[in-house]
This record gives sequence, structure tokens and C-alpha cells, in this order.
Amino acid sequence: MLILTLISLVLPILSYRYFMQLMKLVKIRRSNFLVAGSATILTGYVFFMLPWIFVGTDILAIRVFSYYVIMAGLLILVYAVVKIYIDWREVMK
Amino acid sequence: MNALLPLTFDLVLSLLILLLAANIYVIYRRQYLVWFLVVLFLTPFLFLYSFFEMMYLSDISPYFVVPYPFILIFVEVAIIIAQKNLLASLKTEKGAEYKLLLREDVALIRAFEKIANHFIRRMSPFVGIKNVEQILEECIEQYPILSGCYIGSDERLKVQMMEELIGEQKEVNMNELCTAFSYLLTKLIDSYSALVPYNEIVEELSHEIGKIDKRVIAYFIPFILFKMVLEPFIRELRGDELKKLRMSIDIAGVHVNRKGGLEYHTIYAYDETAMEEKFITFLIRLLAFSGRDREIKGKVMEFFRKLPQNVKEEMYRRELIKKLPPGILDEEKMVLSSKEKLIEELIDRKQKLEEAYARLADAKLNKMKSEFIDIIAHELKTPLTTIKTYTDLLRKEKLGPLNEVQREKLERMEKNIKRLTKLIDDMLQIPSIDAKELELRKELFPAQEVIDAIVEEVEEIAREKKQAFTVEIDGDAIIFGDKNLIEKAIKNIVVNAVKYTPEKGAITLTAKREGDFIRISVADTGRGIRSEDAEKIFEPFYSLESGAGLGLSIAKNIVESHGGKIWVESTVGKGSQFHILLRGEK
Repeated sequence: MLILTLISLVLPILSYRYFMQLMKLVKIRRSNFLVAGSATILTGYVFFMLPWIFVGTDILAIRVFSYYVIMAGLLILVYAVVKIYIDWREVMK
Repeated sequence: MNALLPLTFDLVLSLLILLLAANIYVIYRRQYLVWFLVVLFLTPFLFLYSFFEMMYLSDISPYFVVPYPFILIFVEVAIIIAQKNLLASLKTEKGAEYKLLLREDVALIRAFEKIANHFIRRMSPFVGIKNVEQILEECIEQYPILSGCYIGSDERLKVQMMEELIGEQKEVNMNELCTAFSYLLTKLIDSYSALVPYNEIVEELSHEIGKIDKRVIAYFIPFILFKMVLEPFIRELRGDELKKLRMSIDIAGVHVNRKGGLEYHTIYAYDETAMEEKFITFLIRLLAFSGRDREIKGKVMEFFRKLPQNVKEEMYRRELIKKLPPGILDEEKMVLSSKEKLIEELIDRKQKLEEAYARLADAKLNKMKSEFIDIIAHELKTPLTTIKTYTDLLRKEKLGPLNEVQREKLERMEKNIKRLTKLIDDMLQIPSIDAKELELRKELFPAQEVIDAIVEEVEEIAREKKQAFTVEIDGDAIIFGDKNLIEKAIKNIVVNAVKYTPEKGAITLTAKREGDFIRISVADTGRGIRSEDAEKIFEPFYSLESGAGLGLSIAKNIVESHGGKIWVESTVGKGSQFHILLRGEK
């Protein structure tokens, strides 16, 4: 479980590298929101996995907390995606 | 603690993001979006699994939590693939993504890079790559914005580092970029021109510029105007002519060097209009200076016409052609202005066509209305004739003797039949005049004749209502028209006046000659008509009080069919004055 979680945490670092390269080229700039949203979701996921890794079972309070953190991340992402959608419509015009 | 509430919210939000992304995909349909879509499609499943796992599985075995990291790893890999795809598309400029998404400043740098590399590729075997590097270093020294550029191991100009440096800036000064790269291109062209005739350079440039993205072509216009249109001519000047030109042309931002090369790069400090003005001024001065007006104009036109299509389109868009001095591209100017005129004419014709359609629809509607009234009136008249025949037979006691009550009722029936017959006759008259089917039997007759006949008919009713009835007629009021119809029109108005004027009121009927026309006026002291009703009362079946509302519309149709005019002036509470203007004796 620990190994799997570590892999899932290493991959975003690689993804972030590509993401930053992309953001230097494209004219639509919502990178801060996308990064913030994804990082928040990932934090929520880490909290979600912690009890399973260290205790070996679920702790409801931590699970609920992680769901709320993920919710905050998703809200940021919704905002970013809505903005991108509006921006792209402008670009097409 | 209830985990269901935040989990439900998470599920809803992930579905919302999926919906938005699907919408974006529907519009753009790009390959990399499919991968993002896969990712976003998996996320709600993750939350659904979470529901399932929390409610049914967690108590059974902790291994049921393993799918989370697995799905997350898959999601992350999909995101990386999508990003790599997009990045490759942007870097290689294959696929349509780069045109849509690439920043304008990056696109501009790449366009300059391609032109610069064309010259570097052609000249480096002759002058050596060291010399090219030296030119670049000199340019970087002059314009530090180019400091990210370098000559790579493949002996080509590389701009990736510059792109990255630029990418970190929020606002990039495009004019600064244009100035720096134009300077670099000018230097490269100067070196290359020592090896190749300038006309060939222009042809090569034309080929390269033809490939430039439409989004950034506007930034190349000064380069094209000075380096591709003017410079070929200047390069052909003799040494003494060139010296004179260099001394006489004094335009800020434009400089002619010793070789006849134009250094225009600082012109980007000015706005679009000022840049164009400087070009026009340069051209005018060049024409004045050389004394070879016709020759220069011919050459300038030749260069203009050889320009690639994307450049021509941009010049047409800016209307730069129109600003050129007379004698240059006159045909193109004419095409441009005739195109504008054509568009204006098309708009005008479209408007006229729309109006004609509206009139046609109106006429069709009127015709349908007329036909409808005609049919109804005829259908009513046939049974009414039968009723009238039998009423006559009954009243004349041909079908048996009648008592007093029966006779009285029959008389009332006959009176109503007469009313109905008159109404139908009136209705029949509207369509016939509308459709101009009625032949007007025009003749000359004194207004006195018809007015006397009308007065005779209505005088008794007026007397009963104790109304003062005054008639004033000019002796020379001779009307030219259908006597019976005109009498009907005037009578309809007079009857209305008597009907709607209260007891002891006054009615004045006048007929006066006014030039070629006769004006007949009927004034009453009735309750008057509101201004908003003044037009409507002439419409068929529009009645302010009891009545069919046909009298005035028939009068209007009769008057207008004679080429006359009818109108009303009225003050509420004081009375109305109807006027009829008819053609008089010629």
C-alpha cells in the first residue's frame, strides 16, 4: 500500500514538469488554479490513505476530513474549468 | 460523523467538471482532450466506489482500499500522456492545437526564427557559422530581449530558451520583440545580399513569409513594406543617387545604410497608422527625389503584386492599398472601392426586397380579406332574397289573411330585412372598389346636385332632432367623378353626422373650390373623436358606437378610387369636421 501510494505521489511531480512546460507555450493561463486544485485533491488523498498505511484500518474522522479537502480542491477545479471554457470560446471567436 | 454528505458533494462536483470538459471536447474535438476526458470520467467512479466500499466492504477486508491508489496511478498516467501529446503538438506545430493555443508572442518568435533560419541555412556554408554567431551576438548586445537565442549544434537559430524566458512573463512587449528580430533579420539580409542579388532575396522572403500564420502576419507588414517593396528599388540606385537619397530622406525610424539597405526596425516604436504614414511619406519622397516617377511606380506595383496572399489579405484588411499615392495600384483601389459600393448596393437591394415582400404579403392579405367579405356577403344575400320574397307574399296576404299583431310583426321583419340588405350591399361594395373592379363612370357635375339630394334625404331626421342644418356651396364647385358613388360617400358622412350629433346640435355642409380641387366639409357639434381613433374610423368594421362600421370605410374607398383624399379633424366634446378633397372641373 505504501509503495502504491508513493508511486501515485511521484507521478504528479512528473506531470507538474510537463504542465509547467505547457503553460509557457499556451496563451490560456489558469495554471495557478489548476495546480492549486490538483494539489488540494492530492492532499485530501494523502489524508485518506494515511490511516490505511499506518494503522491498517479506516479512521472515520480522517476519512470525512479528506473528503472535505477533496471537495475544496474540486471547487477550485470547477472554477478553473469554467474559466478555461469561457476563455476558449473567446479564442475561437 | 457523516461521510456521506461531503462524498455526495465530491461526486456532484466531479460530474460537473466531466460535463464541462465534455462540452469543451464537443467544440474542439482534439486528441489530447480524449485523455483528459478519460481521467475525468474515472473520477466520479472513484467516488462511487468510495460509497460502495464505505457502506459494504470496509468492515470485511482492508484490501478493498487498494483500488484507490491503482485508479489514481492510472489517472495520473493518463494526464501525463495528454500533456505529452499536447506539448508535442505545440512544439512540432503538427495538428491544429498550436494554432489555437500557442501564445501570440511565442508564435511571433517562431515566425521570425523560421525566416532567420532560412537565411542562416543559405549563407552559413559561404560565410561560416562563426560569422552568423557574431551577427547574433551583436544583435543580443543591442537588444537583450534576444539573449535566449543561440546557434545550435545543427547550425540553426534556437529560440526555445527565449520562449521559456518569455513564457515566465505575463505581458510581453510585442513591439520590442519585433524591433529586435527585425534588426537581426536586417543584419542577416545585409550579409546575404553580398552573395545573392537582392531580387532573389525578395523572392525567397516572399516564399517564407507566405507560410506565416495569419495571426502574426500584421507584425511583419513594416518589414514587408520596407524590405520587400522599397528596398529592391533603393538597392538599384547608383552610388551618387544613393548618397543623395540618404541625405534627403529624413524620416524618424527609417534609415538608409551605405549599401542601400533599409534599417527600419525602430519604427515598431510607433503605432500601426504612424508606421503606414512613414512608409507612404518615404514612398512619396522617393518618387519626388528620383524624377523617375513612372518607373518607380511601375516597380513598386510589380513588387506589391508579387506579395504572398496572406500579406495581400492583411493589406486589404487595413485598407493600406487605398492610402497609396495616385498611380500605384489604381486597379486594386478601384476593385476595393467597387467592392464596397457593391456591398452597399447589395444592402440597399436587400432592404428594398424586404419592403417589397412586406408589401406583397400585405396585398395578399388585403385580397384575401376582400374575397372573404365578398363570399360571405353573397352567401348571405341569397337566403335573404328568399326571406324577403316570402315576407312580401305574407304581407300582401297571398298566403292567407293576417291579423293586426301578425301585420305589425311582419312590418318589423321587413324593416330589418331592408337594414340587412343595405349592410350586405355596403359589404359588397368594399371589395369591388378595393380590387378596382368597379368601372367609375366619371362625369362633370355640380356639387350642388348631389348635396341637394342628400339634404333632402336627411333633412327630416335632422328636423326631428331639432338640429340646425346649414349648407354653403360655391357656385363653381364642379366635381369630376362617378356621381352616384360620390353622392354615396358624402351621404355616409352626413348621415353619421346627423346620427351622432345630439338634439339641438348644428351640422354644416360646405362645398368650396380650392384650385383644381373641390373641398367638401361636414362639420358637426357631436361628441368628437379621439385622436387615436381618427385613422381607425376609416377601417372596415371599426365602429365607435352601434353600427357595422362600414360607412366611413366605403366613403374612403370611393374618394381614394377617385384620386381624392378624406380626413377628419376633431376635438373631443366639441365636434368633428370631415373633409373630402376631390378633383374638380379642369
